[in-house]
Amino acid sequence: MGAVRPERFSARALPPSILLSKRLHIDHGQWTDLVNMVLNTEDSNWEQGPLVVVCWIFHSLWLMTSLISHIIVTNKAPSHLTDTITMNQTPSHTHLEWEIIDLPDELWFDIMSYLHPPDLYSLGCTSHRFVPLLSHLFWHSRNLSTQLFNMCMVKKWMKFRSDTLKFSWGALTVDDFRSARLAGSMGFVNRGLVFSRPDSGWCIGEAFEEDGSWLGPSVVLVDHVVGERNKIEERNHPEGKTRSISTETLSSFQIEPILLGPPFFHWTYQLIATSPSLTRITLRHIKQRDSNQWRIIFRWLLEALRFHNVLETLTIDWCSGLDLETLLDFVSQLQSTLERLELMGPYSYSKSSSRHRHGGITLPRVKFIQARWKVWLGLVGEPMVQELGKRESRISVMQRRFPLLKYATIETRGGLNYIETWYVPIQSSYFNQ
Amino acid sequence: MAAPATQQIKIRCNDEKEFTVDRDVLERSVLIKNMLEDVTEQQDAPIPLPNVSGPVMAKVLEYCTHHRGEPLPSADTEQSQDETRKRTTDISEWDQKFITVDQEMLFEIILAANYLDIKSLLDVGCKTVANMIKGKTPEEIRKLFNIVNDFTPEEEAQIKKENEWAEDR
Repeated sequence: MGAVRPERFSARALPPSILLSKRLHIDHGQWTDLVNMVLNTEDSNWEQGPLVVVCWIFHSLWLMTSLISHIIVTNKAPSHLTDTITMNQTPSHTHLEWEIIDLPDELWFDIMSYLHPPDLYSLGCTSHRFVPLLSHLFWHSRNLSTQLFNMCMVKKWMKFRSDTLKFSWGALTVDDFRSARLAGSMGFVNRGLVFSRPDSGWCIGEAFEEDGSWLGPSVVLVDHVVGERNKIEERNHPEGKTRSISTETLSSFQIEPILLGPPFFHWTYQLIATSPSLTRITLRHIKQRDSNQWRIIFRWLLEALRFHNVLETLTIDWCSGLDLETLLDFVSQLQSTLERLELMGPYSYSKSSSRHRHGGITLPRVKFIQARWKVWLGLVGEPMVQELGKRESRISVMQRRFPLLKYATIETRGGLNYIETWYVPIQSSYFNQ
Repeated sequence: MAAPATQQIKIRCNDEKEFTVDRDVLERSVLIKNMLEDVTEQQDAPIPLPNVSGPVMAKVLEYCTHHRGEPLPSADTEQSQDETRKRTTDISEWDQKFITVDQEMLFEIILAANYLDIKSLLDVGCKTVANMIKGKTPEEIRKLFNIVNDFTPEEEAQIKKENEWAEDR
């Protein structure tokens, strides 16, 4: 056993379509050359079994004269064949025709979750390909103690990224702004922040006038996707103002998309952690794969808020991957200060355990109202019926977590023409609180 | 008394390669498990797996066969185990030996594990790649994965200058 070369190992029996990566470009003649080269090697120790050509390395110059191949044989390749392979290996500067890193992002997230900051840093310096992925570094925070997280993930990485942010708020650069914050010299009050995705057109809020002065004690949204590039919406502005701002200034709000991909980046952490009077945070258009990623975000957010949790309003709008339980877990930890939770817009969620099958399913629209809280759960979609079946338990959860809840309104919307509302009375004991 | 016969299931890969495998082995894959549960009557037709090739499936089956009988993580335990799983890159001895394959096969196994929804195998694959990256410089990682350096020299110099801390390890 082992001395017999498999008969099926021939150009005809092993067509390239089976063995070759789709990323490779090789014609049948080259394939035949390679097979002949292998077959012509003297082989006294050939082990029977599947022979799988898994890696081919081509060098453009060599391709002009001869076929250069790097063959890795499953099972044990004959030593002299290995020698041959070694001799024929292409120069080190040759790049593969295919890219080994061509994995879906979600799998790279999985891989990165096992890495620590220095390794992530190395990976990030390897290619621009990884920078957007690494922007989700908070995913990794679970591996780090708070101290390490602060030191490595925030401080160091912030330094790494901050100089490449290349944006400014009004007359203030990010560094100026952050430095001032760190020095505690700015003392803004009632500040709100909006974190959202750059490609959706939302910039980080908290805008300033052209002269660098702060616009007001409100969340500021800048939407330049829907044709309202010059419009800034100020929510909860004491005077209800909607101001216009110049395109030039608006451009200064722009953050390089590659960097804003992460809704919670190191420097946003720093902004939160060093904003003692931060009372409102809005998460908008943040798409996460599943609740696990949201748990990281929330853990991260809690960590940032732990120094001075005076958050009064949390708004989650058009976010995906977030399920209700995860959200409630988070909100329950903010109960001491949070007065208003807004869940707006349809958002979808996916179950982490079955992401392959379900991707991003959506839920019925639910609306909860109570004396001190206003909760809108924008849930629209197919599994509505299933979710409605669980509504009692959902409400039970809400009651347990939000003892001040007096009544809830559940509103389901199946398509444009169907709206149904349930009014769910809360046990009398809750009224007495 | 003879043990009850295990149901045999046929699967067909994207290269037409077919395998006949014990059901409990195949059910390590949540995807296939769900497929089988959705089928009320026994079918002779093989289950098509268009995203997996024969050689890769052979490896996957090797893994599933070795781990057959082990409890599958439930939805409840998955979450609690997630924390533990993420903290360590330890891989059992058998799994280490199993996953000692060339890069192409490794990444194909990861893709297959993801597609077939075999969480434990996906973990093994991802841990292996993470271990390959650990402790390496950017240049070493590039070499390892044949990654084209698409940073400009200026960008690279700037990054290096700003991050000398990361190289002191």
